[in-house]
Amino acid sequence: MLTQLVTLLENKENGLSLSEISRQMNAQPTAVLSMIQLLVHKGKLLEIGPDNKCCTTCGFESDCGLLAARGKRYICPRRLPD
Amino acid sequence: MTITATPLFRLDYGGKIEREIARMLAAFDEANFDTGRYSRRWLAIKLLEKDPDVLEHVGSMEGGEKIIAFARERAGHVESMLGDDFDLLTADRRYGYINGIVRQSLHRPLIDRLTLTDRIDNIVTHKWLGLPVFFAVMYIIFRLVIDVSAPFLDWTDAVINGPFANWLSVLLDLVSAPVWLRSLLIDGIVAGVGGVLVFVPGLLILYFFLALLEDSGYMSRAAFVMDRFMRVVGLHGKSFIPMILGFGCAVPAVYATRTIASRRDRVLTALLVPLMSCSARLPVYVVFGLAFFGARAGTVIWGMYALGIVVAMVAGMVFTRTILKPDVSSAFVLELPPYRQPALKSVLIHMWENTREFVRKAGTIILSASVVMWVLLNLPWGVADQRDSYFGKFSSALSPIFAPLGFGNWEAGGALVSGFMAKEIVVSTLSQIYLGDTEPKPVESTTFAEDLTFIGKGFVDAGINSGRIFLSILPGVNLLEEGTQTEDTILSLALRDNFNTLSALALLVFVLLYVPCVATLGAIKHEFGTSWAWVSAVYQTGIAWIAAFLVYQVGHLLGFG
Repeated sequence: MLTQLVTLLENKENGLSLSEISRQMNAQPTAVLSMIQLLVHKGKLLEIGPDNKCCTTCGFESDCGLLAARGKRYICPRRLPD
Repeated sequence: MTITATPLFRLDYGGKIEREIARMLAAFDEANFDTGRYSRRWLAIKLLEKDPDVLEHVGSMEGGEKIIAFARERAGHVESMLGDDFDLLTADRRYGYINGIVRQSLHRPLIDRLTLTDRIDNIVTHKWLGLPVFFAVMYIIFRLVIDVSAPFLDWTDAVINGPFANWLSVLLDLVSAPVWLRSLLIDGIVAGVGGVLVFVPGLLILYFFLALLEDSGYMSRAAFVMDRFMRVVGLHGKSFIPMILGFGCAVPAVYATRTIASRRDRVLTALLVPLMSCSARLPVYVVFGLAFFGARAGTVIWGMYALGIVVAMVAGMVFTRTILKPDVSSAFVLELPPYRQPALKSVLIHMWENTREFVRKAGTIILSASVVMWVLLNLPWGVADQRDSYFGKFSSALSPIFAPLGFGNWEAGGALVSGFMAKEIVVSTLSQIYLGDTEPKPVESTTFAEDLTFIGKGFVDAGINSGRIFLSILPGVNLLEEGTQTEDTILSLALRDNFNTLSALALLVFVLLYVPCVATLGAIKHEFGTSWAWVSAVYQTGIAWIAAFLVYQVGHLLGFG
């Protein structure tokens, strides 16, 4: 499952949101989220903001209206734009 | 607590990992390593996964360092073979196993499947389909507004110029009112204000459909779709809200630009907002549309709205490349709420509030303007022909400016000048000029009860006809009798004597684009200063003249009109 998830995101230039990943993997979002969290913890995936930047590491993440409205996306580190 | 029982379940991690676990267990035996209260297999896996807590614990035990070194070596071996961290490989197996069990044992719909909202959004916010859908929706609405409201427009016109004018006339006879008062009330106020109030049914229907769009959640999709469009023009996505408000009235739309962060974006939006066709222009479109374009009136009026958007785009691009160069843009955040069934009460409140504003304006600004216009059309006092009045002479002096546009008569020039106060006044001025010029129809003597019957029956007939027209818009349904047409109003007949189709179209284009009304200019001045108000007035009038000139002259060359 983890390999499948990483492979899925390797082919997505702009990453995917939790709901998109769970749809594509045909699994419940809650189940997918724990996999994603493990992969993020291991550095296999990166959390990014809706603007395709690593804004999830920003100090204002909890106050960010953009992030609240559009949600996080997940991307393979090698796919991250410079 | 000591775990001693043999586990009933053991997950198979696959050949390579299982071999390493077996090696670890063998290493425990070989080193006589006592795993204490922990399961041997569990401890072997945790050591291979390099679990920091377990490593710390085992490191403090006798012989633990040797076991840890062996576990690191074996884990490194597997990782080099399988290309991933050991703990990820085991987690992958666990998730795979869990997923398998869930699929076999649990059947429930995915809560995050595409909802109806998602399905609709896939079409209405589609990269390529979004804009055509938006324009198609607006087209259908304008067709409905014009076609469905037409019988009610006729009814209102008949009531105002029939029973209502008769009652007023009788009342004036009763009090032996002087001629000038009769002229002021009948030719000035009834013709002027009444000429504008005729459009209340059309506005009610327009606001009804706009409220439906807003309450259903489509308006925010339209904003989303238009965001890309806005960026082409050099505007921020937030500019869409003032633009949409501009279809109602440009004054609140100009003030709504305050939500935009950048001053440059605010100024540009305020300059473009008046190009969105406000509801005050609708009476002008409807009068000329029904008089000259008949069944195609809806298309022409929709065309006016579309033209306003196109001209705003072009003007935006020009401003962006000249005096309002773009600065750093910020993201446009917009919540797309799920689609909802509009609540009738909310739709009715929306309709009423907007229409009430229009009626209030008719009772204040347009009433005052009608009185002023009546005075100007009758000064010097006793003038026989309105053309010889001060207003007529002033308008005649202006008319050469409009001659190349196809409407070089003094009536049109005068109406356009008066429209600077408010666009509806174009219609009220034309009504005063043309209706004041016509011979009064002989008043049929009717009783009050007959008038009430006429009003009631006319309303029911209008409702039936509107219903038929509405149903006939549906594909495959034709409830209209052959030759069913809306009646010509007195104003329509007078306009046809003074304009042709091409000059009427040129005038509509001019009304769409020319100088914003005084209230809008006041709002721009208040927000951005006098110089930007002047820019707005001058550039719009210039564009309006050029566009109307092109419509008339090119149309003429092509043999239209």
